[in-house]
Amino acid sequence: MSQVEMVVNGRKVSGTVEDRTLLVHYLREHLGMTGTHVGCDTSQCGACVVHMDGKAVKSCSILAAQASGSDIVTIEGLANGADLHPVQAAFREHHGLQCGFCTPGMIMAATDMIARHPEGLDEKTVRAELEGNICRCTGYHNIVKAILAASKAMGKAAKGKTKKAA
Amino acid sequence: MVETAARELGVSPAELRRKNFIREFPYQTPVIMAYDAGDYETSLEAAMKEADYAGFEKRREKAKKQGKLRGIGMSCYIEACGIAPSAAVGSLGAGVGLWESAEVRVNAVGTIEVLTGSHSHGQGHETTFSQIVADRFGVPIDSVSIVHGDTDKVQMGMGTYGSRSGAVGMSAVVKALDKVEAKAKKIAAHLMEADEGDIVIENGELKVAGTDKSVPWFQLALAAYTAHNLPDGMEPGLKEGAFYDPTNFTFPAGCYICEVEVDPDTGETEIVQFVAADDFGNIINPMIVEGQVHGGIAQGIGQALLEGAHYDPASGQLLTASYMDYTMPRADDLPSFKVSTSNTPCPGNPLGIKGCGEAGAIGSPPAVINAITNAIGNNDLAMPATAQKVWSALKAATKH
Repeated sequence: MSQVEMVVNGRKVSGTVEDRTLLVHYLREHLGMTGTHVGCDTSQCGACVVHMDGKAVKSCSILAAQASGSDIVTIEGLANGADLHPVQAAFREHHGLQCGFCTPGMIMAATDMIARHPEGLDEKTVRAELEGNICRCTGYHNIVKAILAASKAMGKAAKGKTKKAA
Repeated sequence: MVETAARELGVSPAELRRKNFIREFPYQTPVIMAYDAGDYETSLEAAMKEADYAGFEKRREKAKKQGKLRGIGMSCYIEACGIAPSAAVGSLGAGVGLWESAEVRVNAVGTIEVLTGSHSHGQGHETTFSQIVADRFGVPIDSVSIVHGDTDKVQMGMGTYGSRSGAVGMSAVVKALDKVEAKAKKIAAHLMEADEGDIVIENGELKVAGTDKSVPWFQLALAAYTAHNLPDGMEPGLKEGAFYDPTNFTFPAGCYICEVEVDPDTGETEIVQFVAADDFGNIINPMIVEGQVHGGIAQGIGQALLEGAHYDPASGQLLTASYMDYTMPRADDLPSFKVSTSNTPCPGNPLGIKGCGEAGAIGSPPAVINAITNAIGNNDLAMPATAQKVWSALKAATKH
Protein backbone atom coordinates (compact mmCIF):
# COMPACT_ATOMS: atom_id res chain seq x y z
CA MET A 1 0.00 0.00 0.00
CA SER A 2 1.11 3.57 -0.63
CA GLN A 3 0.42 6.69 1.31
CA VAL A 4 -0.41 9.54 -1.09
CA GLU A 5 -1.07 13.21 -0.56
CA MET A 6 -1.62 15.87 -3.17
CA VAL A 7 -3.50 19.06 -3.85
CA VAL A 8 -6.51 18.54 -6.12
CA ASN A 9 -8.23 21.68 -7.39
CA GLY A 10 -6.78 23.66 -4.51
CA ARG A 11 -7.85 21.17 -1.83
CA LYS A 12 -5.35 19.06 0.16
CA VAL A 13 -6.21 15.36 -0.01
CA SER A 14 -4.49 12.26 1.31
CA GLY A 15 -5.16 8.56 1.56
CA THR A 16 -3.82 5.05 1.43
CA VAL A 17 -4.05 3.31 -1.91
CA GLU A 18 -2.93 0.06 -3.46
CA ASP A 19 0.45 0.58 -5.12
CA ARG A 20 -1.02 -0.16 -8.56
CA THR A 21 -3.75 2.51 -8.25
CA LEU A 22 -3.73 4.83 -11.22
CA LEU A 23 -4.17 8.54 -10.70
CA VAL A 24 -7.45 8.46 -12.63
CA HIS A 25 -8.84 5.74 -10.35
CA TYR A 26 -7.68 7.65 -7.29
CA LEU A 27 -9.54 10.73 -8.54
CA ARG A 28 -12.69 8.89 -9.57
CA GLU A 29 -13.04 6.11 -7.03
CA HIS A 30 -11.29 7.43 -3.92
CA LEU A 31 -12.14 11.13 -4.25
CA GLY A 32 -15.44 10.64 -6.12
CA MET A 33 -14.40 13.15 -8.78
CA THR A 34 -15.87 11.52 -11.85
CA GLY A 35 -15.40 14.45 -14.23
CA THR A 36 -12.17 12.86 -15.44
CA HIS A 37 -13.10 9.96 -17.71
CA VAL A 38 -11.53 6.62 -18.51
CA GLY A 39 -11.93 5.94 -22.20
CA CYS A 40 -9.42 3.38 -23.41
CA ASP A 41 -7.08 2.44 -20.56
CA THR A 42 -4.24 2.31 -23.10
CA SER A 43 -3.28 6.01 -23.13
CA GLN A 44 -4.63 6.58 -26.64
CA CYS A 45 -7.92 8.45 -26.20
CA GLY A 46 -7.08 11.29 -23.83
CA ALA A 47 -10.43 11.34 -21.99
CA CYS A 48 -8.45 11.20 -18.73
CA VAL A 49 -6.24 14.26 -19.25
CA VAL A 50 -5.63 16.34 -16.10
CA HIS A 51 -3.00 18.92 -15.23
CA MET A 52 -0.18 17.81 -12.96
CA ASP A 53 2.02 20.64 -11.75
CA GLY A 54 0.78 22.71 -14.68
CA LYS A 55 1.36 20.08 -17.37
CA ALA A 56 -1.28 18.05 -19.21
CA VAL A 57 -0.90 14.35 -18.40
CA LYS A 58 -2.96 11.25 -19.10
CA SER A 59 -4.07 10.24 -15.64
CA CYS A 60 -4.59 6.63 -16.77
CA SER A 61 -0.85 6.35 -17.34
CA ILE A 62 0.40 7.67 -14.02
CA LEU A 63 0.24 5.95 -10.66
CA ALA A 64 -1.41 7.83 -7.83
CA ALA A 65 1.84 7.21 -5.92
CA GLN A 66 3.82 8.98 -8.65
CA ALA A 67 1.47 11.94 -8.41
CA SER A 68 1.91 12.19 -4.65
CA GLY A 69 3.16 15.60 -3.66
CA SER A 70 1.96 17.28 -6.83
CA ASP A 71 -0.66 19.85 -7.65
CA ILE A 72 -3.51 18.41 -9.73
CA VAL A 73 -6.19 20.30 -11.62
CA THR A 74 -9.14 18.38 -13.07
CA ILE A 75 -12.06 19.51 -15.20
CA GLU A 76 -13.98 20.19 -11.97
CA GLY A 77 -11.37 22.79 -11.02
CA LEU A 78 -11.50 24.92 -14.15
CA ALA A 79 -14.67 26.98 -13.75
CA ASN A 80 -14.78 29.87 -11.33
CA GLY A 81 -18.00 29.05 -9.52
CA ALA A 82 -20.79 29.45 -12.06
CA ASP A 83 -18.47 31.22 -14.52
CA LEU A 84 -17.14 28.80 -17.09
CA HIS A 85 -13.45 28.84 -17.97
CA PRO A 86 -12.97 30.52 -21.39
CA VAL A 87 -12.20 27.15 -22.99
CA GLN A 88 -15.36 25.61 -21.52
CA ALA A 89 -17.35 28.62 -22.69
CA ALA A 90 -15.90 28.30 -26.19
CA PHE A 91 -16.79 24.60 -26.39
CA ARG A 92 -20.34 25.50 -25.40
CA GLU A 93 -20.57 28.42 -27.83
CA HIS A 94 -19.17 26.51 -30.80
CA HIS A 95 -20.97 23.18 -30.18
CA GLY A 96 -17.63 21.54 -29.48
CA LEU A 97 -19.19 18.54 -27.81
CA GLN A 98 -21.98 16.10 -28.51
CA CYS A 99 -22.01 13.03 -26.25
CA GLY A 100 -19.49 14.74 -23.99
CA PHE A 101 -17.37 11.72 -23.15
CA CYS A 102 -14.12 13.09 -24.56
CA THR A 103 -14.86 16.66 -23.45
CA PRO A 104 -13.09 16.77 -20.06
CA GLY A 105 -9.89 15.50 -21.65
CA MET A 106 -10.28 17.75 -24.69
CA ILE A 107 -10.72 20.82 -22.51
CA MET A 108 -7.81 19.99 -20.22
CA ALA A 109 -5.57 19.30 -23.25
CA ALA A 110 -6.77 22.53 -24.88
CA THR A 111 -6.10 24.75 -21.85
CA ASP A 112 -2.60 23.31 -21.65
CA MET A 113 -2.09 23.86 -25.39
CA ILE A 114 -3.23 27.47 -25.19
CA ALA A 115 -0.95 28.11 -22.21
CA ARG A 116 2.03 26.71 -24.11
CA HIS A 117 1.31 28.94 -27.10
CA PRO A 118 0.88 32.47 -25.76
CA GLU A 119 1.76 33.73 -29.26
CA GLY A 120 -1.54 32.25 -30.51
CA LEU A 121 -2.57 29.10 -32.34
CA ASP A 122 -3.34 28.13 -35.92
CA GLU A 123 -5.51 25.26 -37.12
CA LYS A 124 -2.59 23.06 -38.12
CA THR A 125 -0.97 23.34 -34.69
CA VAL A 126 -4.25 22.66 -32.89
CA ARG A 127 -4.90 19.56 -34.97
CA ALA A 128 -1.35 18.26 -34.53
CA GLU A 129 -1.35 18.82 -30.77
CA LEU A 130 -4.79 17.27 -30.37
CA GLU A 131 -3.41 13.99 -31.69
CA GLY A 132 -3.66 12.38 -28.26
CA ASN A 133 -7.37 13.02 -27.83
CA ILE A 134 -10.00 11.00 -29.69
CA CYS A 135 -13.54 12.15 -30.45
CA ARG A 136 -16.07 10.07 -32.37
CA CYS A 137 -18.95 12.58 -32.44
CA THR A 138 -17.75 15.93 -33.71
CA GLY A 139 -15.21 15.07 -36.40
CA TYR A 140 -13.05 17.55 -34.40
CA HIS A 141 -14.36 20.39 -36.60
CA ASN A 142 -16.07 22.35 -33.83
CA ILE A 143 -13.50 21.34 -31.21
CA VAL A 144 -10.75 22.92 -33.31
CA LYS A 145 -12.96 25.95 -33.86
CA ALA A 146 -13.61 26.26 -30.11
CA ILE A 147 -9.93 25.98 -29.19
CA LEU A 148 -8.95 28.63 -31.75
CA ALA A 149 -11.68 30.94 -30.46
CA ALA A 150 -10.67 30.38 -26.83
CA SER A 151 -7.02 30.99 -27.66
CA LYS A 152 -7.95 34.27 -29.32
CA ALA A 153 -10.23 35.35 -26.44
CA MET A 154 -7.64 34.46 -23.80
CA GLY A 155 -4.91 36.22 -25.77
CA LYS A 156 -7.01 39.39 -25.89
CA ALA A 157 -7.82 39.16 -22.18
CA ALA A 158 -4.12 38.73 -21.35
CA LYS A 159 -3.19 41.74 -23.51
CA GLY A 160 -5.87 43.79 -21.80
CA LYS A 161 -4.40 42.92 -18.42
CA THR A 162 -0.87 43.84 -19.51
CA LYS A 163 -2.12 47.19 -20.78
CA LYS A 164 -3.90 47.87 -17.50
CA ALA A 165 -0.77 46.95 -15.55
CA ALA A 166 1.31 49.26 -17.71
CA MET B 1 -19.33 2.24 -59.51
CA VAL B 2 -20.78 5.39 -61.08
CA GLU B 3 -17.35 7.02 -61.00
CA THR B 4 -15.75 3.99 -62.65
CA ALA B 5 -18.47 3.96 -65.30
CA ALA B 6 -17.92 7.64 -65.99
CA ARG B 7 -14.16 7.09 -66.33
CA GLU B 8 -14.66 4.16 -68.70
CA LEU B 9 -17.24 6.05 -70.76
CA GLY B 10 -15.02 9.11 -70.85
CA VAL B 11 -17.74 11.43 -69.54
CA SER B 12 -17.61 13.72 -66.54
CA PRO B 13 -18.69 11.97 -63.32
CA ALA B 14 -20.98 14.91 -62.57
CA GLU B 15 -22.64 14.67 -65.97
CA LEU B 16 -23.27 10.93 -65.70
CA ARG B 17 -24.92 11.47 -62.34
CA ARG B 18 -26.93 14.41 -63.60
CA LYS B 19 -28.26 12.31 -66.49
CA ASN B 20 -29.52 9.67 -64.11
CA PHE B 21 -31.10 11.80 -61.38
CA ILE B 22 -34.71 11.10 -60.49
CA ARG B 23 -36.72 14.25 -61.04
CA GLU B 24 -40.32 13.18 -60.60
CA PHE B 25 -41.83 12.34 -57.25
CA PRO B 26 -43.18 10.16 -55.78
CA TYR B 27 -40.84 7.63 -57.36
CA GLN B 28 -41.49 3.98 -56.59
CA THR B 29 -38.27 1.94 -56.51
CA PRO B 30 -38.41 -1.82 -57.11
CA VAL B 31 -37.38 -2.44 -53.47
CA ILE B 32 -40.21 -1.16 -51.22
CA MET B 33 -38.97 2.44 -51.00
CA ALA B 34 -41.03 5.20 -52.59
CA TYR B 35 -38.94 8.38 -52.79
CA ASP B 36 -41.17 11.29 -51.80
CA ALA B 37 -39.19 14.48 -52.42
CA GLY B 38 -35.72 15.64 -53.38
CA ASP B 39 -33.69 17.89 -55.61
CA TYR B 40 -30.45 16.08 -56.28
CA GLU B 41 -29.19 18.46 -58.91
CA THR B 42 -29.25 21.44 -56.54
CA SER B 43 -27.04 19.55 -54.05
CA LEU B 44 -24.68 18.51 -56.84
CA GLU B 45 -24.36 22.07 -58.08
CA ALA B 46 -23.90 23.48 -54.58
CA ALA B 47 -21.13 20.98 -53.86
CA MET B 48 -19.37 21.59 -57.19
CA LYS B 49 -19.46 25.32 -56.66
CA GLU B 50 -18.18 25.13 -53.08
CA ALA B 51 -15.43 22.72 -54.12
CA ASP B 52 -14.46 24.87 -57.13
CA TYR B 53 -14.75 21.71 -59.21
CA ALA B 54 -14.00 23.67 -62.37
CA GLY B 55 -10.67 24.84 -60.99
CA PHE B 56 -9.46 21.36 -60.11
CA GLU B 57 -7.15 20.77 -63.07
CA LYS B 58 -5.16 23.87 -62.17
CA ARG B 59 -4.78 22.60 -58.60
CA ARG B 60 -3.75 19.19 -59.94
CA GLU B 61 -1.02 20.78 -62.06
CA LYS B 62 0.22 22.81 -59.12
CA ALA B 63 0.35 19.73 -56.89
CA LYS B 64 2.21 17.81 -59.61
CA LYS B 65 4.94 20.43 -59.59
CA GLN B 66 5.30 19.79 -55.87
CA GLY B 67 5.57 16.05 -56.43
CA LYS B 68 2.06 15.21 -55.25
CA LEU B 69 -0.75 13.37 -57.02
CA ARG B 70 -3.95 15.30 -56.58
CA GLY B 71 -7.32 13.67 -57.12
CA ILE B 72 -10.97 14.64 -56.87
CA GLY B 73 -13.92 12.35 -56.23
CA MET B 74 -17.60 12.80 -55.70
CA SER B 75 -20.51 10.77 -54.47
CA CYS B 76 -24.22 11.39 -54.62
CA TYR B 77 -26.09 9.43 -52.01
CA ILE B 78 -29.70 8.87 -51.08
CA GLU B 79 -30.65 7.02 -47.93
CA ALA B 80 -33.78 5.75 -46.25
CA CYS B 81 -34.23 7.29 -42.81
CA GLY B 82 -36.91 7.99 -40.27
CA ILE B 83 -37.43 4.33 -39.69
CA ALA B 84 -40.09 3.30 -40.12
CA PRO B 85 -43.70 2.47 -41.04
CA SER B 86 -44.46 -0.47 -38.76
CA ALA B 87 -46.37 -2.38 -41.45
CA ALA B 88 -43.47 -1.97 -43.90
CA VAL B 89 -40.85 -3.28 -41.48
CA GLY B 90 -43.26 -6.05 -40.49
CA SER B 91 -43.42 -7.15 -44.13
CA LEU B 92 -39.61 -7.26 -44.13
CA GLY B 93 -39.62 -9.57 -41.12
CA ALA B 94 -39.08 -7.16 -38.20
CA GLY B 95 -40.47 -8.41 -34.89
CA VAL B 96 -41.39 -4.92 -33.67
CA GLY B 97 -43.20 -1.82 -34.83
CA LEU B 98 -41.07 1.26 -35.38
CA TRP B 99 -43.38 4.04 -34.15
CA GLU B 100 -42.32 6.50 -31.46
CA SER B 101 -44.17 7.75 -28.39
CA ALA B 102 -44.32 11.09 -26.60
CA GLU B 103 -46.11 12.70 -23.71
CA VAL B 104 -46.43 16.43 -23.12
CA ARG B 105 -47.13 17.39 -19.52
CA VAL B 106 -47.97 21.00 -18.87
CA ASN B 107 -47.46 21.65 -15.17
CA ALA B 108 -49.81 23.87 -13.18
CA VAL B 109 -47.25 26.71 -13.29
CA GLY B 110 -46.97 26.49 -17.08
CA THR B 111 -43.60 24.75 -17.31
CA ILE B 112 -43.66 21.87 -19.75
CA GLU B 113 -42.19 18.41 -19.43
CA VAL B 114 -41.83 16.33 -22.59
CA LEU B 115 -41.36 12.60 -22.26
CA THR B 116 -39.90 10.98 -25.35
CA GLY B 117 -39.03 7.40 -26.21
CA SER B 118 -36.24 8.74 -28.37
CA HIS B 119 -33.08 8.77 -26.27
CA SER B 120 -30.48 11.52 -26.50
CA HIS B 121 -26.83 10.55 -26.20
CA GLY B 122 -25.30 13.60 -27.79
CA GLN B 123 -27.78 14.33 -30.56
CA GLY B 124 -29.12 17.37 -28.73
CA HIS B 125 -32.76 16.39 -28.22
CA GLU B 126 -32.78 18.55 -25.10
CA THR B 127 -32.28 21.53 -27.38
CA THR B 128 -34.23 20.68 -30.54
CA PHE B 129 -37.24 19.07 -28.85
CA SER B 130 -37.44 22.05 -26.48
CA GLN B 131 -37.27 24.41 -29.46
CA ILE B 132 -40.41 23.02 -31.09
CA VAL B 133 -42.31 23.17 -27.81
CA ALA B 134 -41.15 26.70 -26.96
CA ASP B 135 -41.97 27.87 -30.49
CA ARG B 136 -45.44 26.37 -30.39
CA PHE B 137 -46.54 28.00 -27.13
CA GLY B 138 -44.26 31.03 -27.09
CA VAL B 139 -42.81 30.08 -23.72
CA PRO B 140 -39.14 30.51 -22.70
CA ILE B 141 -37.03 27.52 -23.77
CA ASP B 142 -35.82 27.18 -20.17
CA SER B 143 -39.33 26.31 -19.06
CA VAL B 144 -39.30 23.17 -21.20
CA SER B 145 -37.58 20.03 -19.99
CA ILE B 146 -37.04 16.87 -21.99
CA VAL B 147 -37.19 13.52 -20.21
CA HIS B 148 -35.63 10.54 -21.97
CA GLY B 149 -33.99 7.29 -21.04
CA ASP B 150 -35.82 7.05 -17.72
CA THR B 151 -37.98 3.93 -17.89
CA ASP B 152 -39.65 4.88 -14.60
CA LYS B 153 -41.15 7.84 -16.43
CA VAL B 154 -41.19 7.10 -20.15
CA GLN B 155 -43.55 4.23 -20.76
CA MET B 156 -42.66 3.22 -24.29
CA GLY B 157 -40.06 4.05 -26.90
CA MET B 158 -38.15 2.60 -29.79
CA GLY B 159 -35.01 4.69 -29.52
CA THR B 160 -32.52 6.79 -31.42
CA TYR B 161 -31.03 5.36 -34.61
CA GLY B 162 -31.66 5.49 -38.34
CA SER B 163 -32.06 9.27 -38.19
CA ARG B 164 -35.48 8.74 -36.67
CA SER B 165 -35.48 11.10 -33.68
CA GLY B 166 -36.54 14.13 -35.69
CA ALA B 167 -38.74 12.50 -38.29
CA VAL B 168 -40.45 10.01 -35.96
CA GLY B 169 -39.73 11.06 -32.35
CA MET B 170 -40.49 14.74 -32.89
CA SER B 171 -43.56 13.88 -34.93
CA ALA B 172 -44.92 12.05 -31.89
CA VAL B 173 -44.19 15.18 -29.82
CA VAL B 174 -46.00 17.30 -32.42
CA LYS B 175 -49.04 15.00 -32.26
CA ALA B 176 -49.14 15.35 -28.47
CA LEU B 177 -48.63 19.14 -28.78
CA ASP B 178 -51.60 19.28 -31.18
CA LYS B 179 -53.77 17.67 -28.54
CA VAL B 180 -52.48 19.96 -25.78
CA GLU B 181 -53.02 23.00 -27.97
CA ALA B 182 -56.58 21.94 -28.85
CA LYS B 183 -57.49 21.49 -25.18
CA ALA B 184 -55.77 24.72 -24.14
CA LYS B 185 -57.71 26.62 -26.80
CA LYS B 186 -61.00 25.10 -25.57
CA ILE B 187 -60.23 26.23 -22.02
CA ALA B 188 -59.14 29.70 -23.20
CA ALA B 189 -62.29 30.12 -25.30
CA HIS B 190 -64.40 29.16 -22.30
CA LEU B 191 -62.56 31.56 -19.95
CA MET B 192 -62.79 34.49 -22.36
CA GLU B 193 -66.28 33.64 -23.63
CA ALA B 194 -65.04 33.45 -27.19
CA ASP B 195 -65.22 31.04 -30.05
CA GLU B 196 -62.59 28.31 -29.92
CA GLY B 197 -61.70 28.99 -33.57
CA ASP B 198 -60.77 32.60 -32.71
CA ILE B 199 -58.09 31.67 -30.17
CA VAL B 200 -54.49 32.22 -31.25
CA ILE B 201 -51.32 31.53 -29.30
CA GLU B 202 -48.73 34.30 -29.47
CA ASN B 203 -45.80 35.27 -27.25
CA GLY B 204 -46.85 33.04 -24.41
CA GLU B 205 -50.45 34.18 -24.40
CA LEU B 206 -53.74 32.78 -25.64
CA LYS B 207 -55.54 35.61 -27.36
CA VAL B 208 -58.91 36.18 -28.92
CA ALA B 209 -57.94 37.22 -32.44
CA GLY B 210 -58.78 40.83 -33.26
CA THR B 211 -59.45 41.81 -29.62
CA ASP B 212 -57.33 42.77 -26.61
CA LYS B 213 -58.56 39.78 -24.63
CA SER B 214 -55.83 37.36 -23.56
CA VAL B 215 -54.84 34.78 -20.98
CA PRO B 216 -51.15 34.19 -20.21
CA TRP B 217 -49.99 30.61 -20.78
CA PHE B 218 -49.14 30.00 -17.11
CA GLN B 219 -52.59 31.21 -16.02
CA LEU B 220 -54.24 28.91 -18.52
CA ALA B 221 -52.20 25.99 -17.17
CA LEU B 222 -53.24 26.85 -13.63
CA ALA B 223 -56.89 27.06 -14.71
CA ALA B 224 -56.63 23.56 -16.21
CA TYR B 225 -55.54 22.20 -12.83
CA THR B 226 -57.67 24.24 -10.42
CA ALA B 227 -60.60 23.18 -12.62
CA HIS B 228 -62.83 25.83 -11.07
CA ASN B 229 -64.11 26.97 -14.42
CA LEU B 230 -63.72 24.43 -17.21
CA PRO B 231 -66.06 23.74 -20.12
CA ASP B 232 -68.86 21.31 -19.22
CA GLY B 233 -67.67 17.73 -19.02
CA MET B 234 -63.98 18.52 -19.59
CA GLU B 235 -61.44 16.52 -17.60
CA PRO B 236 -59.07 18.64 -15.48
CA GLY B 237 -55.37 18.80 -16.30
CA LEU B 238 -53.26 19.51 -19.36
CA LYS B 239 -51.30 16.45 -20.32
CA GLU B 240 -51.50 14.47 -23.54
CA GLY B 241 -49.73 11.50 -25.04
CA ALA B 242 -49.35 10.30 -28.60
CA PHE B 243 -47.90 7.53 -30.69
CA TYR B 244 -46.67 8.32 -34.18
CA ASP B 245 -46.25 5.64 -36.80
CA PRO B 246 -44.67 7.09 -39.95
CA THR B 247 -46.41 6.61 -43.28
CA ASN B 248 -43.17 6.38 -45.22
CA PHE B 249 -39.42 6.37 -44.76
CA THR B 250 -37.70 9.73 -45.32
CA PHE B 251 -35.05 10.21 -48.00
CA PRO B 252 -32.17 12.55 -47.18
CA ALA B 253 -29.79 12.95 -50.09
CA GLY B 254 -26.73 14.94 -51.01
CA CYS B 255 -23.52 15.34 -52.90
CA TYR B 256 -20.06 15.04 -51.33
CA ILE B 257 -16.81 16.04 -52.98
CA CYS B 258 -13.39 15.10 -51.65
CA GLU B 259 -10.02 16.27 -52.85
CA VAL B 260 -6.83 14.48 -51.86
CA GLU B 261 -3.12 14.66 -52.37
CA VAL B 262 -1.21 11.39 -52.48
CA ASP B 263 2.50 11.23 -51.87
CA PRO B 264 3.70 8.84 -54.61
CA ASP B 265 6.78 7.84 -52.61
CA THR B 266 4.89 6.71 -49.51
CA GLY B 267 1.25 6.25 -50.58
CA GLU B 268 0.21 8.59 -47.81
CA THR B 269 -3.08 10.37 -48.50
CA GLU B 270 -3.90 13.84 -47.25
CA ILE B 271 -7.46 15.10 -47.49
CA VAL B 272 -7.02 18.67 -48.65
CA GLN B 273 -10.67 19.59 -49.13
CA PHE B 274 -13.98 18.06 -48.15
CA VAL B 275 -17.33 19.48 -49.21
CA ALA B 276 -20.77 18.20 -48.21
CA ALA B 277 -24.02 19.54 -49.66
CA ASP B 278 -27.07 17.85 -48.18
CA ASP B 279 -30.85 17.90 -48.38
CA PHE B 280 -32.22 17.10 -44.92
CA GLY B 281 -35.73 18.49 -45.28
CA ASN B 282 -36.68 21.17 -42.78
CA ILE B 283 -34.05 21.89 -40.14
CA ILE B 284 -34.83 22.73 -36.52
CA ASN B 285 -31.30 23.62 -35.41
CA PRO B 286 -28.60 24.19 -38.05
CA MET B 287 -25.70 24.02 -35.59
CA ILE B 288 -26.72 20.59 -34.33
CA VAL B 289 -27.32 19.37 -37.88
CA GLU B 290 -23.85 20.54 -38.94
CA GLY B 291 -22.36 18.81 -35.91
CA GLN B 292 -24.03 15.56 -36.94
CA VAL B 293 -22.62 15.89 -40.46
CA HIS B 294 -19.10 16.69 -39.21
CA GLY B 295 -19.06 13.56 -37.06
CA GLY B 296 -20.43 11.43 -39.88
CA ILE B 297 -17.84 12.67 -42.35
CA ALA B 298 -15.03 11.93 -39.88
CA GLN B 299 -16.35 8.43 -39.35
CA GLY B 300 -16.63 7.90 -43.11
CA ILE B 301 -13.12 9.18 -43.73
CA GLY B 302 -11.93 6.88 -40.96
CA GLN B 303 -13.61 3.95 -42.69
CA ALA B 304 -12.13 4.95 -46.04
CA LEU B 305 -8.56 5.54 -44.89
CA LEU B 306 -7.81 4.13 -41.49
CA GLU B 307 -10.21 1.81 -39.74
CA GLY B 308 -9.79 -1.89 -40.35
CA ALA B 309 -10.74 -4.86 -38.16
CA HIS B 310 -8.24 -7.71 -38.35
CA TYR B 311 -8.60 -11.23 -37.00
CA ASP B 312 -5.89 -13.78 -36.56
CA PRO B 313 -6.82 -16.39 -39.20
CA ALA B 314 -5.55 -19.30 -37.10
CA SER B 315 -7.28 -18.53 -33.80
CA GLY B 316 -10.06 -16.08 -34.71
CA GLN B 317 -8.65 -13.68 -32.14
CA LEU B 318 -9.46 -10.01 -32.85
CA LEU B 319 -6.10 -8.32 -33.34
CA THR B 320 -7.44 -4.76 -33.51
CA ALA B 321 -9.09 -4.83 -30.11
CA SER B 322 -7.83 -1.54 -28.69
CA TYR B 323 -7.01 1.93 -29.93
CA MET B 324 -3.37 0.83 -29.94
CA ASP B 325 -4.16 -1.28 -33.01
CA TYR B 326 -7.43 0.08 -34.42
CA THR B 327 -6.92 3.47 -36.00
CA MET B 328 -9.56 5.97 -35.05
CA PRO B 329 -9.22 9.19 -37.03
CA ARG B 330 -7.37 11.89 -35.09
CA ALA B 331 -7.75 15.64 -35.53
CA ASP B 332 -4.63 15.77 -37.69
CA ASP B 333 -6.01 13.13 -40.09
CA LEU B 334 -8.84 15.47 -41.06
CA PRO B 335 -9.39 18.91 -42.54
CA SER B 336 -12.13 21.33 -41.54
CA PHE B 337 -15.23 20.50 -43.55
CA LYS B 338 -17.32 22.74 -45.77
CA VAL B 339 -20.91 21.77 -45.15
CA SER B 340 -24.14 23.28 -46.44
CA THR B 341 -27.73 22.28 -47.04
CA SER B 342 -30.37 23.05 -49.63
CA ASN B 343 -33.55 21.49 -48.43
CA THR B 344 -36.77 20.13 -49.85
CA PRO B 345 -39.29 19.55 -47.05
CA CYS B 346 -40.32 15.97 -46.45
CA PRO B 347 -44.05 15.64 -47.22
CA GLY B 348 -44.41 12.57 -45.01
CA ASN B 349 -44.26 14.06 -41.50
CA PRO B 350 -45.68 17.17 -39.83
CA LEU B 351 -42.35 19.00 -39.47
CA GLY B 352 -41.04 18.13 -42.94
CA ILE B 353 -37.87 16.59 -41.47
CA LYS B 354 -35.76 14.00 -43.29
CA GLY B 355 -32.90 13.34 -40.85
CA CYS B 356 -29.13 13.88 -40.84
CA GLY B 357 -27.52 11.30 -38.55
CA GLU B 358 -25.85 8.94 -41.00
CA ALA B 359 -25.51 11.21 -44.02
CA GLY B 360 -21.88 12.13 -43.41
CA ALA B 361 -20.81 8.53 -42.93
CA ILE B 362 -22.67 7.42 -46.09
CA GLY B 363 -21.50 10.07 -48.51
CA SER B 364 -17.87 10.31 -47.48
CA PRO B 365 -16.26 6.86 -48.03
CA PRO B 366 -17.06 6.73 -51.79
CA ALA B 367 -16.03 10.36 -52.25
CA VAL B 368 -12.67 9.70 -50.56
CA ILE B 369 -11.97 6.50 -52.48
CA ASN B 370 -13.04 8.11 -55.77
CA ALA B 371 -10.62 10.94 -55.06
CA ILE B 372 -7.71 8.59 -54.36
CA THR B 373 -8.40 6.37 -57.39
CA ASN B 374 -8.62 9.53 -59.48
CA ALA B 375 -5.24 10.63 -58.14
CA ILE B 376 -3.42 7.33 -58.69
CA GLY B 377 -5.16 6.17 -61.88
CA ASN B 378 -6.20 2.79 -60.53
CA ASN B 379 -9.84 2.01 -59.67
CA ASP B 380 -8.93 -1.17 -57.80
CA LEU B 381 -8.55 -0.02 -54.19
CA ALA B 382 -10.14 -1.57 -51.12
CA MET B 383 -10.94 0.22 -47.86
CA PRO B 384 -9.29 1.14 -45.65
CA ALA B 385 -6.97 2.75 -48.15
CA THR B 386 -3.88 2.69 -45.95
CA ALA B 387 -0.64 4.17 -47.23
CA GLN B 388 0.61 0.70 -48.07
CA LYS B 389 -2.48 -0.18 -50.13
CA VAL B 390 -2.43 3.15 -51.96
CA TRP B 391 1.29 2.79 -52.70
CA SER B 392 0.76 -0.77 -54.02
CA ALA B 393 -2.21 0.30 -56.18
CA LEU B 394 -0.16 3.18 -57.54
CA LYS B 395 2.75 0.87 -58.39
CA ALA B 396 0.34 -1.57 -60.09
CA ALA B 397 -1.13 1.28 -62.14
CA THR B 398 2.24 2.62 -63.28
CA LYS B 399 3.44 -0.88 -64.38
CA HIS B 400 0.83 -1.03 -67.15
